Amino acid sequence: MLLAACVSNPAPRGWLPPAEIAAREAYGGWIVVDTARDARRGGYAAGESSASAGVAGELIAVDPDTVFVMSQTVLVALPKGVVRDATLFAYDAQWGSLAGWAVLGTLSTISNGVVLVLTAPLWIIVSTSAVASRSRAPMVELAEQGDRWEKLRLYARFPQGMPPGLDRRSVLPSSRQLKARFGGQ
Amino acid sequence: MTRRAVAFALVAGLTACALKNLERTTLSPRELTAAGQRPGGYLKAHLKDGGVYVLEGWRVDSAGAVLTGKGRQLDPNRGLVREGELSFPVSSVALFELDRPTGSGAVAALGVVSGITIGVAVYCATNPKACFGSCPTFYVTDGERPILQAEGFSASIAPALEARDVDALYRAAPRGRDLEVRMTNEALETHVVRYVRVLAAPRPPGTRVFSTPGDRFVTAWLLPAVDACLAPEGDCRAALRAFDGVERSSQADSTDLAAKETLDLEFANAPPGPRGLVVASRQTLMTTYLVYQALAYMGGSAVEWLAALGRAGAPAIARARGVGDALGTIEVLARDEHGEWVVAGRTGETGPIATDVKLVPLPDSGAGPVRVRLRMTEGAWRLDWVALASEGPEVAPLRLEPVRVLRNGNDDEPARRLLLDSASVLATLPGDAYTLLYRLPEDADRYELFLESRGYYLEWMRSEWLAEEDHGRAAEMLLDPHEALRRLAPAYKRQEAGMDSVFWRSRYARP
Repeated sequence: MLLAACVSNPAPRGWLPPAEIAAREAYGGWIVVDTARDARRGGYAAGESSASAGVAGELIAVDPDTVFVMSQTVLVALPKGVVRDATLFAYDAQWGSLAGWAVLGTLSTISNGVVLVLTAPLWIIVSTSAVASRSRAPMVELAEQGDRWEKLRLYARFPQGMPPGLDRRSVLPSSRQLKARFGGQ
Repeated sequence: MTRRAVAFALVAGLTACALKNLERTTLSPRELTAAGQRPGGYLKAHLKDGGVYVLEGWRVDSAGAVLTGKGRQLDPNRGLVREGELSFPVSSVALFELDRPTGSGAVAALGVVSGITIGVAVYCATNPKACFGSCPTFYVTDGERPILQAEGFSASIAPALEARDVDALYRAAPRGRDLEVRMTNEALETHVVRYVRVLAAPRPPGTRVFSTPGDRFVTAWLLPAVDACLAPEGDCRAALRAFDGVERSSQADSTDLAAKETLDLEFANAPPGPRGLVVASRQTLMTTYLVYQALAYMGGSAVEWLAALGRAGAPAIARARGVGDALGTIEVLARDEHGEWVVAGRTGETGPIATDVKLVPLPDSGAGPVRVRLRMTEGAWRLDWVALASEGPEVAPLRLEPVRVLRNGNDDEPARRLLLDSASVLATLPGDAYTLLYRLPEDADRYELFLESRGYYLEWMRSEWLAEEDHGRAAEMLLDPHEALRRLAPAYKRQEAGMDSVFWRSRYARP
C-alpha cells in the first residue's frame, strides 16, 4: 500500500540531490516530457531518435516557444506545441528513509499493548499519506491552463530563459549526468 | 523485542528528520534586502549571459545598484568561476531566485505519530497493567450498528478455570431471523473457545426476560424507575434510572482494596407479588489489574503456577479465586422480618468491558415501598441501571448453534465444526475475528437473546511484568488475599485514574 501510494523519481539514481543541496546548486531539475509520437520527426538535434515519444533529462530553459532539455549529452529543443505533458522532479525526496521510518514505526506499536489497535492503524494511515506526500513533494507538473510552463520554468538551469548570446553547443550536461551515463557514480 | 522495535523506529525517525523540502521563489530587486535578513536561504542571481551567483548572505548598497554577498560565481555549465566575497551590478542580473530548504510536513506528521507511540510505550513500560484487553468480546447489532454487548468467560484465565458464561444481549435488535455475532480477540491473549451459542428465550408481549444468578430465565415486567438512591457521594438516581451508558462508580479505598460501600435504593410504588432487582453492571479495571499483578508476581514461572493449578484440583482452584472472593460481587440486601438487612442475592460478572444485565430475586415484602441495599467493593463496580421488576413465569430458552462461521468474509467450516463439537475448541490469537451466524426462530422479535459461551484464555506475559517477579507476593495473593489487597492498595491508587483512561481510549466507543 505504501509503495503503491508513492511516486518514484524517474531520474538516474544519484542524479538529483536532496533539497538542501539543490538549494545551493544551480542545475535544472529532471524533467520527463511527453510529446506527440510524430512531433519530432525531422529531428531537433543530432542523435535524437525520430521514433521517440518523450524526452527526459535536465531542464535547461523554457523560452516562449521552445523547451530545452539536456537529454543524455544532447541539448534537445522541443517546440512547446508538441508537448502533451511534462513532469519535473526538483530534488530527491529521499522518501525511502521515511518509508523505513513508517515500517519500523508501525512495527514499534507492538510496544503499545492493546493500544496498538489504535496506534497501528494510525501509523498505517498517517505514514502512507505522509510518505506518498513526501514522494510527490519535489514534483512540478505542466499546468493545464494559463501559462502552462510558468511553474516549471523556475526549475530550469536558466530560469530566465535561454541566454541570448549563449552558444547552445557550449551548454554541457551536468557532471552528475555524465557520471550517471558513464557509470561513474 | 518491543524495545528494539521502538529503538529502530527512533533511529529511523532521527535520520528522516533531516529531510527537507525546497521552497523556490523569484524576487524583484526591491525584495533583496528584506530576503537577505531572513537566515537559511540561498540567493541565485541568474545573469543575462547564463552565469549565476549563488549567495548565502547578501546586501544591496544604498543606491540599490550593487549586490554584495558571500558565495560562488558559476559559469553557464556551473563550473566555478570564483568564490568568496563577491560584488556585481544588479543590472547584470536577469532573474533573482530565492531557494529555501523548509521542514517537511510528512516528517512532522510521522513525528506526531511517533510521539503518540512513544508516549503510549513509555506509559505501558511504566504502567504495563494499564495496557491490556480481556477475554473474547462479542459485537451484536442494536438495530443500527454492531455494538459491544458481551465478553465471554472473563474469569477463566487458565485451563483449570474454564467456565460457562451467560450474557444478556439486552440491546440486541436483529432485523429478521438472521443474527450476526462478531467474536473478536482484541487482546494479547490466546482465547480457547469451546462453544458460543445464542439462547433465545420466548418473551410474552410487554415483558423482558432476564437471567438470574441462579441460571434461571424469568419473564418480568419492569416497574417505574428508582425513586430514591443514596450513595456515599449523595443522590445517585440520575446514573441508575436507565440503561444508557451513564454509570455510577467510585474510587477504590487507598488502604484496602476490599473495603466495601453501600447504596440504598427505594422504589415507592411497588405492587405486591414476586419481585426482582434488575442490575446492569460491569467491573472497573481493579480486578483485571489484580489478575495481571498476580501474573507479574509469578513472572517467568507463571506457566508452572497455572499448570500446577490444574493438577492440584478444587482446593487450589478455590484458593486461586481468593482475591476475587475477597473483592466479592454486588450483594443485594433486603430487610428481613426483624428489619435487619440480609443478603437476598448476588450479581456482578467478571470483566470490565461489557455491561451485563441480571435479575436478582427479592423476598416478598408485600405491598408498599421496596427498599434494597447494594453492598460492593469500593471502586470495583460500575452500575449503569438498577430497576425493580415484577417476576413472571420462568421460561426455557432455545439453544442455537451457529449455522455459519465466517472469517475474513469467507466461510470457515472447520471453525464451525470446532465450535459445535464440545470435545474440541477453537483457539484464536490477537487480531482474530470471526462472524458467527445464527438462525433465530420465527417471530424473532418475541425472543429475548442471550449469549452462552464456554472456554478459557491465556494471557500473554509482557516482558515488563517479569521485572516484578516475586513468588512470595504471588503466594500471598493466594494464601492471604485480604492482606495482599491492603498491601496493593497504594500502588493501585497511584495508577487508578490513568490506567482507566488509557484502557478505554484504546477500546470501545460504547460499552
